[in-house]
Amino acid sequence: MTDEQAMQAVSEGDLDKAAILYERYKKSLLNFFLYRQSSRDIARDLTQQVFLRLLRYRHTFREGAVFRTWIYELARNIYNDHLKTLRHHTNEFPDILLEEDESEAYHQRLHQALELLPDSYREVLLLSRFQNMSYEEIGQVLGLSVANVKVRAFRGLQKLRELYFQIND
Amino acid sequence: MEKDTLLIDYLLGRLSEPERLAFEEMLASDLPLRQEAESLEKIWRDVQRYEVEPDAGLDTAFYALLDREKENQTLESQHQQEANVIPLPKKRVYWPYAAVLAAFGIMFWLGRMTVAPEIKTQTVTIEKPSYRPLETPPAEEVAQLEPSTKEETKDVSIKKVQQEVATLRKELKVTQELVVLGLLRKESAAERLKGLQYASNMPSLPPDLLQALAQTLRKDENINVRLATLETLKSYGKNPSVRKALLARLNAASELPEQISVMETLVINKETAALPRLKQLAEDEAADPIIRKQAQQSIQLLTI
Repeated sequence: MTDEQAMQAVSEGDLDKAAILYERYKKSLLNFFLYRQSSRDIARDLTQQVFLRLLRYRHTFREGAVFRTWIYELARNIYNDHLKTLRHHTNEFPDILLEEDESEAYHQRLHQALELLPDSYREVLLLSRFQNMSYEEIGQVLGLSVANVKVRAFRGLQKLRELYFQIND
Repeated sequence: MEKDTLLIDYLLGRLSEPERLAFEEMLASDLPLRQEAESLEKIWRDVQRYEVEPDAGLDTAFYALLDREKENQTLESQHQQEANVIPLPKKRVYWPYAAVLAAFGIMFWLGRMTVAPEIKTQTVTIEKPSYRPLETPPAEEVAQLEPSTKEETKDVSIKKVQQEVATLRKELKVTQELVVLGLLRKESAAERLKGLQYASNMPSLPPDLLQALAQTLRKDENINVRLATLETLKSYGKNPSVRKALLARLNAASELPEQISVMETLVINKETAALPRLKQLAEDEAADPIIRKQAQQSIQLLTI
C-alpha cells in the first residue's frame, strides 16, 4: 500500500491505517526535528504533534497530493509554531544544549554545526536526507527550481563543513 | 558549476550507475575535485551515521493518541446519528380537539335539560376501629434472636480486617494522587501524559486533583497534554474549577483539534454558559468552517 493510499484511507475514516504511516515516517521525522534543535524530548513532542495533526486534519488531504510533501508541510508548520512559542516565552532562542556523554561529543559538534546552518541550506539537506525527497519534490515544497535546489544542497554541505571545523577549533 | 552539480548528485546518491562511474573517473584525474569530494563526503556520511532511533515512549504516545482519536470518531458519529434522529417539531392542529370538547359540552347540556332531578337519601354508619394487642413471638424465636458470644468475636475480627483494608485503600489512593500530581509537574510532556494516563485509570478523581488538572488544562503549553487532560476531565464538567477551565479554554484555544474537543466536552456536560462564545464562533466569518459547523451543532445540542 502506498503512502497516498494509506492516507486516503485515513481521510475516509479508517484511522488504523495511520499506524502504517507512523511506522514509515516516525524515524525520519524524529531525526528531522532533532537536527533542527538538540532536545530529544522536544523532537519527540514535535513528532507526536505531526501525527496528531495528520489525524485531526485528515480531511484536508486531497486525492492526487503527494503524501511526503504534505506531511513535510505539517512538520514545517509545527516547527514554526514551536519557534513562535519559544519567542513568546523567552524572547530569545534557546542556548544549544550539550549532552554530558563525552562519547557523543563528535555527534554533538556535528549537531551544533547543523543547528547553526542557515535555514535555506539546512532545509534542502534535511529534506533530501530524512524525507528522501527528489530534487523536484524539494523544489515544489520550497518554491525553488531544481537547479537552485542543487546549488543550495552543495553550498549547504560546504557551509556545514566550515561550521563544523569552526566549532572544533 | 557543472562539476559542482555532478558532485552534489554524487554525494546525495542521485547519479545513475554509468554516470557515477564516469564521475569517479573524473575524480581520479582531478586532485582538487577529489579532495573536495572526500571532505564533503565524510561530513555527509557522518550526518547520516548519527541518526536516532525512535524509542518505545514515542510509540506508546502515538498509539494512545490513535486510540483517543478512534474514540472521538465513534463519539462524533454517535452525535451525528442523534442529531439525525431528533425529529423536527410538527405543526399541531387544535381544531379537532376543540370540536370534540364542544360536542361533549352540548351532549351534557342536553342531558341536563331532558332528565328530571332525583334526590336520594343515604344513611352512613361509621364503625369504631378495633385495636388488637401485638402478638408476642414464641419463646423459641426470642432465643434464636440473641447473638452468641462466638459470633460476636467473629464479627469484631471481620470488622478489624475491613477497617485495615479501608485504610490501605485510602493510602493507595493518596499515593496515586501524589504520583499523578508529581508527574503533572514534570518538564517533559511525555511524563505529564503518563500522569494523565494514571489519572484516567483512577475510579474517581478527588477535588484537589481535579483542580490541578483544571490548571493543566488552562496553562500547559503542549497541545497533546491539554487534549489528554480534556479527555480525563470529560465526565467532571460539573466541578467548578473544571467548568471554569473549560470555559476559559473555549476562549483561548486556537488550534482546531483542541477547539473541537473543548466544544464536545462542554456539550457532554450540558454547559449552557458556553452558548455566548459558541454563538460568536458560529457567526465568525474569519473562523475555520469546521469550527463554525461544530459550534452550530454544539448550540443545537445545548438548546434542545
